[in-house]
Amino acid sequence: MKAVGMMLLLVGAMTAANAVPAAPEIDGGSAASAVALLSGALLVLRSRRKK
Amino acid sequence: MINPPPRDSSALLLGPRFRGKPLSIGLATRVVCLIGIFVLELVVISTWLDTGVLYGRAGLAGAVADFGAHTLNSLVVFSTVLLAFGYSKVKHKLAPIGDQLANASPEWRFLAGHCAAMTVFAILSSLLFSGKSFVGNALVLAWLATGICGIVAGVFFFIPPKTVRELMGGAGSAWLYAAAAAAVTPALVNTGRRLWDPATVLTFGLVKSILSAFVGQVITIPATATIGTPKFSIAILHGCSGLEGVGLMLIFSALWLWFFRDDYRFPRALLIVPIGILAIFLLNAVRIASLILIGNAGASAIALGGFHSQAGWIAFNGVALALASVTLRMPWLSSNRTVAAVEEGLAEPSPAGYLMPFLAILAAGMISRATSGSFEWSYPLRFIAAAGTLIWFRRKYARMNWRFGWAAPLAGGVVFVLWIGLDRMAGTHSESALPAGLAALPVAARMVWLAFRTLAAVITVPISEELAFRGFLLRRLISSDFESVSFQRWSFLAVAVSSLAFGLLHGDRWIAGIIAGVLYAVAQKRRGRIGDAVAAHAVTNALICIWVLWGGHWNLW
Repeated sequence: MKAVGMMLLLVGAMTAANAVPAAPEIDGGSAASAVALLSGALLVLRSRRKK
Repeated sequence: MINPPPRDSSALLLGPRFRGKPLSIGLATRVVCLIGIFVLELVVISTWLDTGVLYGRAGLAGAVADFGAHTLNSLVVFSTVLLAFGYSKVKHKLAPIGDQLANASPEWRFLAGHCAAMTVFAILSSLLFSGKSFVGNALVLAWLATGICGIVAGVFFFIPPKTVRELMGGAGSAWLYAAAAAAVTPALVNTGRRLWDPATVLTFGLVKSILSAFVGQVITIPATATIGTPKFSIAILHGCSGLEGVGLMLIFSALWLWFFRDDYRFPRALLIVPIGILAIFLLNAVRIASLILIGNAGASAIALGGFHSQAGWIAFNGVALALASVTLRMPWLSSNRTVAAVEEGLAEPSPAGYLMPFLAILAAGMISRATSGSFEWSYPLRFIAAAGTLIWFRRKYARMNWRFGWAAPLAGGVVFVLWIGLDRMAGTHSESALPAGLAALPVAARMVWLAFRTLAAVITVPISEELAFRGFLLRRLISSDFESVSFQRWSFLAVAVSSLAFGLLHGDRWIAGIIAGVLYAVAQKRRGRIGDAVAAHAVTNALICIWVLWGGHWNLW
């Protein structure tokens, strides 16, 4: 779950930098699904590691 | 000798007395409640108070206006960094603390103190932000003091002072990281703003070079950063200069390298940071050039609509995933252990079967929206992507219990009623572009689009979302070996977090989404079957489809 924790930090940083609300390059309206997609994909990627 | 069974994460967090029971009052429950209350209060305060009325004031009132936003930003960064890094330092203490707290009742005097402080804070806020001229430094100090008292009392209500001291003492260097991150946040934000102009000039030049390779005549007005063709041109605003992607990539790559530092060879792995930044900056120029070319081809609605809002995220996700996956396979950058592990493949319960259908919907949705204007004509792509992934993993699903009882459709019906009721309470939504978009299609294409939209809502979306949120996330929050966790197992933390994540993905209907998540989890828990959650979800979506198609409530789609 490190990947999820990392994405939470990313979201926190985005919030602090006010990057989300008025961001033509990084659209705030799509942030939830984009971050979910990245977190999920990273989880699947990291799970392909041996214990 | 018989070894004792391993303690799973819920037992560690909730304490033995309440293990496996809902609504226990272990450490995790207390932290979730504390964060929930603070976020709620922060939302109310930031919506209610406008620091703009204090601009230009003398003394502390003016300082609140000048530095309030920066302080809030720094506090958010401080809290997230402290939680993230402090957790790893104190996690060995969480089990005994969880046991202690599960047997202790909250101290109600701190709740009374919190309520009293927040009441005084509200009264002082109404005076401070009234715009009247009598606001003095004493009032501002009292306002700050009551706010701090409210925060401290709130923390002590959920987590006793002794436990707070123990956790704070154990966090060690996390305090230093959090303080440093909070201190540099305002400077980083301000520096980033100073870089807007040079970044815009650089992006302007890159876009011009790319366009020159594709169109004969490139029109440029450097004074306004306007660029395009005789048929279609745009102005590159500060927000499009590429710095937002650079900032996100900088944070992502730094966090990635920190969290997975054992998997990389340093200092050479640090190259990942500039490579990621360079890639995302160049891709932003490609994004703007592509946007102009799409507009030049006559599809200005797509260029300025879906493509404009989605392409940045597609580029960021693409670069981040490529960096994460490729660098782990490069022996020059990764440790030998990591490369061997990646090449050997699966060795622990993989979430792929649970997550991939949902991720396929998200990815297809981003592509579909990027190729659409106001009407998402390529929506069937979402259904095809999800159906294809479900078929790919069909053998895994064959082992699950897909049966459902009478209570599941009932739960689905209840969610539907709540969904519609909350939607009505929320008031008017913006006019949906769906009717106009559908009307513009030929009859056959309209029928096909509606059929795919309905099939997705009733079949692929419920299965994919329930596999991801109830099948994986809820159980993963109970134990890392999530496949060994019964579908009947519950913990407050697991249901709260999985339902919150489910709700947040439903945009401005997040409250209804959270309630729906909880009710689908209830449906699953009753008989321990994922089929019940899927059936409840499918019934909700089917009823919404009928509501939309029968009553013309297109804004629900």
